[in-house]
Amino acid sequence: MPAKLTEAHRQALKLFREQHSDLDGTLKKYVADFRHERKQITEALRKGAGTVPELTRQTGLPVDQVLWHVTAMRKYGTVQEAGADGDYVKYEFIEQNGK
Amino acid sequence: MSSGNGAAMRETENHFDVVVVGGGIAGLQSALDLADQDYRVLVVEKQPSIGGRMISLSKVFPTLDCASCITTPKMSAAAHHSNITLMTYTTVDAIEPAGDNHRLTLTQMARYVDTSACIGCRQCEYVCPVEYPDPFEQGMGALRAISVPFANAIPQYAVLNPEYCIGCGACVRACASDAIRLDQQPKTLTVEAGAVVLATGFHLNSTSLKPQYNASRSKDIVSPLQVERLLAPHGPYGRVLRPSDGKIPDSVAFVLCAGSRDQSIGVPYCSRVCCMYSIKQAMLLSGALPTADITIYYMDIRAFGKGFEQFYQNAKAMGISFVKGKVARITPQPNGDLMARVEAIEEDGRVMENRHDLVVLAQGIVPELVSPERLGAAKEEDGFIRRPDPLRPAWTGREGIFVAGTAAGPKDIVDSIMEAGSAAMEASHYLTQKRATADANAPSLELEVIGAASE
Ligand SMILES: Cc1cc2nc3c(=O)[nH]c(=O)nc-3n(C[C@H](O)[C@H](O)[C@H](O)COP(=O)(O)OP(=O)(O)OC[C@H]3O[C@@H](n4cnc5c(N)ncnc54)[C@H](O)[C@@H]3O)c2cc1C
Ligand code: SF4
Ligand code: SF4
Repeated sequence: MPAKLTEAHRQALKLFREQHSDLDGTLKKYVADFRHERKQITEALRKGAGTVPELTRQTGLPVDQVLWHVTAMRKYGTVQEAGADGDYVKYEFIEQNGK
Repeated sequence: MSSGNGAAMRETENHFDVVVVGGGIAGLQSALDLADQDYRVLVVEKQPSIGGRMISLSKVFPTLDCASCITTPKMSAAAHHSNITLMTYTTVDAIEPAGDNHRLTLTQMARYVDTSACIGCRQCEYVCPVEYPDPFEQGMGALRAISVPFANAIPQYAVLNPEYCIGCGACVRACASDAIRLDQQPKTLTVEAGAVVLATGFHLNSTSLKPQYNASRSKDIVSPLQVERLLAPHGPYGRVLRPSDGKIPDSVAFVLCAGSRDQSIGVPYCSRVCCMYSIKQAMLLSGALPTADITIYYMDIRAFGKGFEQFYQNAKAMGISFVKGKVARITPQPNGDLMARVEAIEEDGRVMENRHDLVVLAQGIVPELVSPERLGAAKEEDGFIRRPDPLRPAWTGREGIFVAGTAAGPKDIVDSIMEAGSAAMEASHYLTQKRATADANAPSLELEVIGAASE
């Protein structure tokens, strides 16, 4: 990370966490699921390009969730299209430098 | 984002000649027309970007111009006009009379970003670890907990969504401009206006209103706004896919009047644009999916505007099939297909069962503003803003308060723009008259001088 947090940043973060304390754990659960799903899809894609139904079979996740993750990864530059297989587009992982 | 001077009737920092409520195409057009006449205008928009619904459309009927290509210049003209001040991410909550002006109560929501420091570089977005369904993409794409809302958003400032932010601080560290303010709080503000233009727009009613269409049981029974995004050049998938599993659809159906002209769902009126946007979407889909079958189920086609009938005939000539029939039920199958049960009116009521990959429900247009009374106006029976004088269609019947665009009823872009011009003209006329009355009542300088001399 380029910059360090100042005291003012820390105070602001503290206030933010107090005001949005996620008492019932909804956000915590959402983020845990999100990370777990993203990791599974990334691992499946690292083994080779695949269509949404193929990635669904490999990960066991709900198919619409798989499409959503692949769409998100395409937007943020870690996935690209790699041709098609019948009625489905194939997606491949883009290895990031140094990751 | 400019505050100019030299404009007419300027009194205090928070006084504007006109406040326009809503930064969709109608509001922006009214604001530009007034600002060009040297009135000082404030545009208040509740979303983080101006542009309204139009900025999210693909292409527009009947010309098939790219929607964002024709909306972006208007948005940027408004943002750069020296007589226009923009306030985004701010709602107008109440409008009350204040002398012969209006007092508006606004809530500026917390962006958690200092807009005077943010340069829209998106470094914060690149490091943020949480993503959620993007409202601009109708949930089909993803947005990070802090992001610039979409590529051509105006203004280009990041917004943090506290519902998804885990407070990790990564964005704070990444922002070279030190623009992130996690302690920002919502603010209540009041401003005064000589006149008001209400351009609060519309939204679509729910796809689930008709249980026989089973929209809640399949992700492939979609809203027309989703189809606009599927067709947009920078849409979520970069191409047309069905949202349940990413299949390239080979059969798409449109159900017209799926949320209008039905007393039982509270929308007895015709939404006026659904026939035309559905025909447009069908044409664009047939371009994007050249081998797909595209069907429009309709009761009657209302192609009343200039060039509309030709547009409809072109669609038929392109091979889109128009089936006059009543869709009784849509049933999702275990394999993801959608079966539509249709009574074909022109075939003596024969019942057909047709298979589709994607079904679009032409939903009804309903007003975005639920209580116009709070904003100084009244409501028509259909819920849209009342306009009591048929010879003054932009007037709400309340002194100095005007209305433009879909806030007054369903209509297309061209009609929204025309009405916006008319609301601007009414507001300008009203302000000129008000000033003339004020001038007539003010003691003239000459009389004062004479009075002083004769003392
Ligand atoms: C699927 C679909 C496709 C369409 N395709 C076409 C087409 O091809 N051609 C065509 O001519 N028309 C088309 N239309 C119609 C077109 O979208 C409308 O005519 C146009 O967008 C109306 O603009 P507006 O400014 O009246 O409303 P909006 O775009 O809804 O703008 C209103 C703005 O006001 C803001 N607002 C609301 N309340 C408040 C408040 N209290 N405080 C602050 N801000 C507020 C909203 O956030 C919004 O940004 C289509 C419509 C749909 C649904
Ligand atoms: S908040 Fe900072 S990092 Fe984010 S877009 Fe603005 S300037 Fe860039
Ligand atoms: S503090 Fe919130 S918005 Fe910023 S990077 Fe972390 S999760 Fe994202």
